[in-house]
Amino acid sequence: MNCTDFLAKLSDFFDGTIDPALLDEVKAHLCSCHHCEVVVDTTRHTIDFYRADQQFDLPEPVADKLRSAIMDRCRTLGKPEKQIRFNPGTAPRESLEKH
Amino acid sequence: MVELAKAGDTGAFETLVRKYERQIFRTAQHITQNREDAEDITQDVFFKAFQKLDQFQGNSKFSTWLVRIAVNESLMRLRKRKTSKTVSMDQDVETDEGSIPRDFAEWRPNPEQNFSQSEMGEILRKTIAGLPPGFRTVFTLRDIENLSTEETAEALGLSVPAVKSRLLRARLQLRERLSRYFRKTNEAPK
Repeated sequence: MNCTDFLAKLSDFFDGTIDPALLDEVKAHLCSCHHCEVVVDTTRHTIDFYRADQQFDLPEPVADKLRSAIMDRCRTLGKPEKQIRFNPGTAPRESLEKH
Repeated sequence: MVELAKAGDTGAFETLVRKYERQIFRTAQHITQNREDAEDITQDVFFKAFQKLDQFQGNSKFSTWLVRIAVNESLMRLRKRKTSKTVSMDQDVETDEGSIPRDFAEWRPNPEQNFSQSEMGEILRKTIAGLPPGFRTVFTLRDIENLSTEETAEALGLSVPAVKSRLLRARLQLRERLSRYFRKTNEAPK
């Protein structure tokens, strides 16, 4: 297995969906190729960083207001002039910041 | 619950909203990278879902159906922001950037030791915001929201091989871009 072959299998390797018959070859390549080892290590870090950082929270008070606005719109379905939108500007200040 | 909602039970629909509102909000914020847009889109997604409930046949998960609406609404919002440019799942995905790794620098010590939490957050946000929407969306659904490849394909109207291809390239592009900040030497970002 060369680096190009390895790269083609990278996502399957991360996702645990790689053909078991190829797993030993992939592991052997990783042991012998420092560049691919770095790519695996840094790509894994990339995914982990985003999983940890990009968990956008929706505070309960904002969720309540959004839900209330959604349900008001649904109940007035078919009457666009009566549709009510939740104005984010009216949300508590903390709701507009990233948590 | 979906069947009750389809039969006109607004209480059942509200239960569905409560169950999925956070997932839809996060998906919209990931794609638009804007909190206020995500709040608006969350409203629009559930309103549209309510209007079109009779079109939901139950061939996919209800959540996947909602995510599909959320992706479309989010891309539409991006399109409105960039009035002179088309924004779609296919925009810029033909780029070769990241498809072949070029930066083999290690990230040591761990970047979290070199940057404050807010600096890390800013770097991550800038980096993912620079990714083409078609890649950012696939990365979001698969790697952050943990949808399966099949669910992602269904939500985006793509084939499974297309999702796999875009996911690999999204991961590699993000890695390559972050490497400009996190390489172990103290070089300034390019």
